[in-house]
Parts: sequence; structure tokens; C-alpha cells
Amino acid sequence: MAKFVMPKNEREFRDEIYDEKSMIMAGGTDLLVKMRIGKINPSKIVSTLRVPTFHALGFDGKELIIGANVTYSELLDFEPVKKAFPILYDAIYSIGSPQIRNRATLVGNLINASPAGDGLLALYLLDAKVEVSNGKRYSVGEFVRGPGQTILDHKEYVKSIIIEKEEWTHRYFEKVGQRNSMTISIASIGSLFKIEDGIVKEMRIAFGSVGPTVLRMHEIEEFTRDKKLDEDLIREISMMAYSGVKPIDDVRGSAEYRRRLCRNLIYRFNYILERS
Amino acid sequence: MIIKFKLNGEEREENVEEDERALDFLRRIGMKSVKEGCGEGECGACTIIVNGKNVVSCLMLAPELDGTDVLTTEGLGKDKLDPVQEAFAEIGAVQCGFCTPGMEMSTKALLMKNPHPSEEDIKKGLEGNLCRCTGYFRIIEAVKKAAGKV
Repeated sequence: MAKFVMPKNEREFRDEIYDEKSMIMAGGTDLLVKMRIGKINPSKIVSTLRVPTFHALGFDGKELIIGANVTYSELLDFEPVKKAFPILYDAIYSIGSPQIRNRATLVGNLINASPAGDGLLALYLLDAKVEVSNGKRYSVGEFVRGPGQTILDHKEYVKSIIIEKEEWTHRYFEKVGQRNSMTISIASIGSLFKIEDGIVKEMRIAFGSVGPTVLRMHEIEEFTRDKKLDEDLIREISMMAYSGVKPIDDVRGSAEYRRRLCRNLIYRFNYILERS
Repeated sequence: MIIKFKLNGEEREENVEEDERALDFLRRIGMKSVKEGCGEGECGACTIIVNGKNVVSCLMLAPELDGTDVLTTEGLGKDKLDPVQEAFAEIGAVQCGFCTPGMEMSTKALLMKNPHPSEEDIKKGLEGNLCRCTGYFRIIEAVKKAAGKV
């Protein structure tokens, strides 16, 4: 039987997580499932729910700060997310169900470090920073070490995620799963563009579920710089995606299916072409 | 441990185990409308409303209910049927009935937030509730009928 504690401030919280076999719980939408099937067996669960600083959510016009217990629903209802970070909004909107979004948190998604994490994909695209209790800020790429692995040791925790506002002219997010709701991505893609007079000034592209972590494809980002976005360029990007992703066969789909999926999703950039 | 919370409008003080699921606790104290389907947050049969938001009680621990305001289907329409229940009954949005309490709680939460949802909003609002009998058509019709009355 696990002990369950709800510390009321960060000082109490730090004291509680000191124990090796304690685990931190925010929304609990993954942790409680894993506990029930016996995958993990913590002696103590430490809740983030009653720690006021973990509920911080703010935007000063430059930086968006998201505390450790901010839920997906709170993010969807926070006007600056929709207006200034629409790719984050799109990704979160695709996650789970209202019941899950009302409990699950973006920081939880980050710490789970799943290559299929849809919220995590948006964080990679937005070059988000992670503020850890040791006082340091890490990029998401530094923070996530592999599937389910982060740089945190058991006495450390994430205080917040910080995202700087940037202007993008176009965006694209799509996830492919077995159905629309409550689905784990077979493959997902997110992309941000700065397009001026039909020329790609800057773009970012990331894929989910096709590698050990979310995959930012810098080679495509560099390749497209200052090129005209046309059907030829889209075809070239799609071939780069096909050969650049590193999927595996699993219960949700084969590696080859995933590679083709990533290639074909790039053709949706045609919609961006039509609108630019 | 002792928790204090509001259940269907009444102040309650109850003894809970630290690692007891909210689902098991609520059923233990007689809230049998809260059903266990999948036990992993997929099906929505155990949906309850906590502080105005629908959540699955299988992925919540009972101690987390301390200090909250909880609504289960038992709390809908104590004297007369809630508009949501009325609409589900009138439209016939029920077959075996197992998913119905969860469906009604998600409908209630949706309509409290968005009194006039579009069909897409309804589908999105109920995406966390599975029904294996009705094919959803009448459920969606029932939500439309209850719209604006919650």
C-alpha cells in the first residue's frame, strides 16, 4: 500500500520527495494506470496539487510560464495560449478527453518523456525551456534523455516550463492514431513557418512516435531556409522526412508504415502553400 | 485519513484509505451511479464532476477529494429530473444504461461551460465517454435537447 501526501508548499514538497521510493504525482492519469498494472510500485506518492507555486500560469507578452500542476484544460482556457502559441493549443486539444485534460498536466507529459507525447512535440517545436529545482534552465532536448528518461534525479523536480513568444506566419500539427479521441499517436508532425513572399525565412519541424524521443529535424530546417515553398520543395522535404525518421515496429504500426506516414503528411504543406 | 468535502450539495466527513481510488471510495459510500468500466481512464463510465470539471474517478485518489465540491449522478435532479436526465429519457439515449451516468456527467459539465454547443463541440465534449450500444446518435440528440437548460 502506498502512502499519499499532499504537501502545502514547496519546502514541504522537497522534504517529502527525499525518499528514494517516492514518486511525484500531478494529474495521475499515467501514474495511477502504471501502478494499477504493477509496472511501478512506489512506497509514497507525493502530490503537486496543493502546492500554490505549481499552479503558476502567466504571460507577460514575452514569456509564457507554465507551473508543474497546470492542467491541459487550464492551458486551453488561457487566452494567450490560443493567441500567441497556437501550435501548443492544437497539440493539447488533440490529447485524451475532457476528463483527462482536466487532470493531466503539460509538465507531466514532459517528465513522462514519451516519444509519442503530443504536448512534448509542441515543446520541442517552440524551443521551450525547463526550469528545474536545482535552479538551472534546460532546453527540452537537453532535459529529455531517451524514452521515459530525463536528467532529473529523484530529489529534483520540474518547477515550470518557459516558452518565449516568437512570430510565425503558418503552422501545421497533425497526429495520426487509430481514432480521434483518447489515442496514442502512431505518428505525429508539427511544423512552424516564417514565410515572406513565398520564401521560407525560417521553419521548424518535429515528428512524434518515430524515434526514441520526439525528433526535431534540423536538416530539413536548414535545407528549406530562403527557399521558395513550392511543390518541388515539398516533395524534397517529404523524401528527407521518409529517410530521416527512425521508427520501430510496435503494436500501433510498423516502421515502414510510419515512414510513409511521415512522408505523406508533408504533402499537407500544400495547404500552407495555398494560404501563403 | 479523514476528508471533508461536499457531495451532491451535502457536507460530508469520511474516512478514506490513502491509496484508495475516488471511484472505489464513492461506490463504498453508496454512490453506485459511478461505474467502473476500464479502470484506466479510457471509457468514462466513472466520470464525476469535481469543482465544476468532469474527471474520471478511476484516475483520482480519494484523499484528493478533500475540500472539493463533488457531483455524481445521484446529485442530479434530487426532486425532479435534471434537464440532462430528462433529455436522455425523452430522446431514448439509453440502451443498457451502464455508460449513462458518465455520459450525463460529461454532458452536464459541457453544458455548464458551453450552454449552446455545436455538434462538433458535443462530440469533443463526450469524446471521453464510450457507449457500446447506442451508436451515439441519440446521445448527441439528447445533448442538443438539453442545451440551454442546464
